[in-house]
Amino acid sequence: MSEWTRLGSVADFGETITLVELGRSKIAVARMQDELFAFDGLCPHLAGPMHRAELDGTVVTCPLHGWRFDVRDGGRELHDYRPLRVFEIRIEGDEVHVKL
Amino acid sequence: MPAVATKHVNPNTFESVRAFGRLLASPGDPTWDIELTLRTAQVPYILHISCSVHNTLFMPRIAQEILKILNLEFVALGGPENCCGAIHEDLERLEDLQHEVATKTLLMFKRARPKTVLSVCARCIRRFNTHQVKGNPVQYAHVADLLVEHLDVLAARMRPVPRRVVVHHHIGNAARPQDDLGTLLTILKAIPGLEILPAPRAGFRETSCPTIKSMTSGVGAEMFAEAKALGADTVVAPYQACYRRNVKMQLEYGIETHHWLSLLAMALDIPFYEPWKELRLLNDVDGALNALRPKMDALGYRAETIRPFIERVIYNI
Repeated sequence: MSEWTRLGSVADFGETITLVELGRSKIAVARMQDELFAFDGLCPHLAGPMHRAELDGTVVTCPLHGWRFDVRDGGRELHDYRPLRVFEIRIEGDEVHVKL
Repeated sequence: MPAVATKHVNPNTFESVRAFGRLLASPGDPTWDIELTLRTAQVPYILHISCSVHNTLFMPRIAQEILKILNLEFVALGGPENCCGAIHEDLERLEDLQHEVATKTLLMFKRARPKTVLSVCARCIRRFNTHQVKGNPVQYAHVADLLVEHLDVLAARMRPVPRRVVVHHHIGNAARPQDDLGTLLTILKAIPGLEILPAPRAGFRETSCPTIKSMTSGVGAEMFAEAKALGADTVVAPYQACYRRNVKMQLEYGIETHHWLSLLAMALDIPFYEPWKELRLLNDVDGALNALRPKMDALGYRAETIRPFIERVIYNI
């Protein structure tokens, strides 16, 4: 059952990727084009470290094999491979919550 | 919560591999899977379409056709998804990921439980032998090693290839102690009509010719000057990197560079195309871009994306 979980404070997240571990989940968080995005910290291909992804606009590129995901477009992979899970985010005041 | 630095990957490296794999593909060139499932049926051989040979698909094409002639069952697996980690080794900021990349690819190979994974890339061979899965290694070999085992079958089908060749080779490759030159000569000597010229300046000491850095002055020139003096019409490249680096020498010396698989293809009547060579011999980036334009338009590639790939990968600018 999905639930809202606190990720951190708004001030914790900037234009570089921050990795947050919530239990077994690894969530990568970054501000891209003035919007905060939270996505799976492991690439859906072979579990590459998405906290080391290259950022280009709202496209994040896995450092292992270059799979490229548009986090604004639901994590769609630009070569039509498997998508990256993008999490819904809610900001309440100063707090950032993610829906797992 | 500590921030983790980004900017760790150059997406263009992977994108140029994928782009050239599509733009430089010719009719009949191999297609390949990018991953295998855990339920993949066992096959005796995997033909590895490594990142590098996306630029020169005629090489795995010829290898594939020869495997069919020999009635050997195989699956073609490749793409950046099955990288040996060489790209990461070359990028300081990704260097720590090279082992993970290599071992994940080796584990992917294992899903087909192959007897041998076949390659035409010397660097892949070196890297996979260095980063083997401990206690459960994958047999990863040069295609040439397999062909020598079946040379009698192939020789019976060969027609003459009347060429005077200098055999370029690399000496002292510590990561691959097998005698690559000996294997190559065994294959070439089986091709009727081929005259192999003794050429002391054809042996280089590096693992293979570099393709990213500009050619060092003097070394390749000496080989081609000697080849010209010997009356050679062909310099034979042992590895795809050597082929890519040396094709441009034809412009100055009038001697064609051929990968050894091409000579075997000529002998066995296997058709192949060399778009990499054609683009490089235009000696003009704009000309190369224009030559690719119809396919770029069909596949949705923009000039501003492909031009830097041509400059860096084909012209070493």
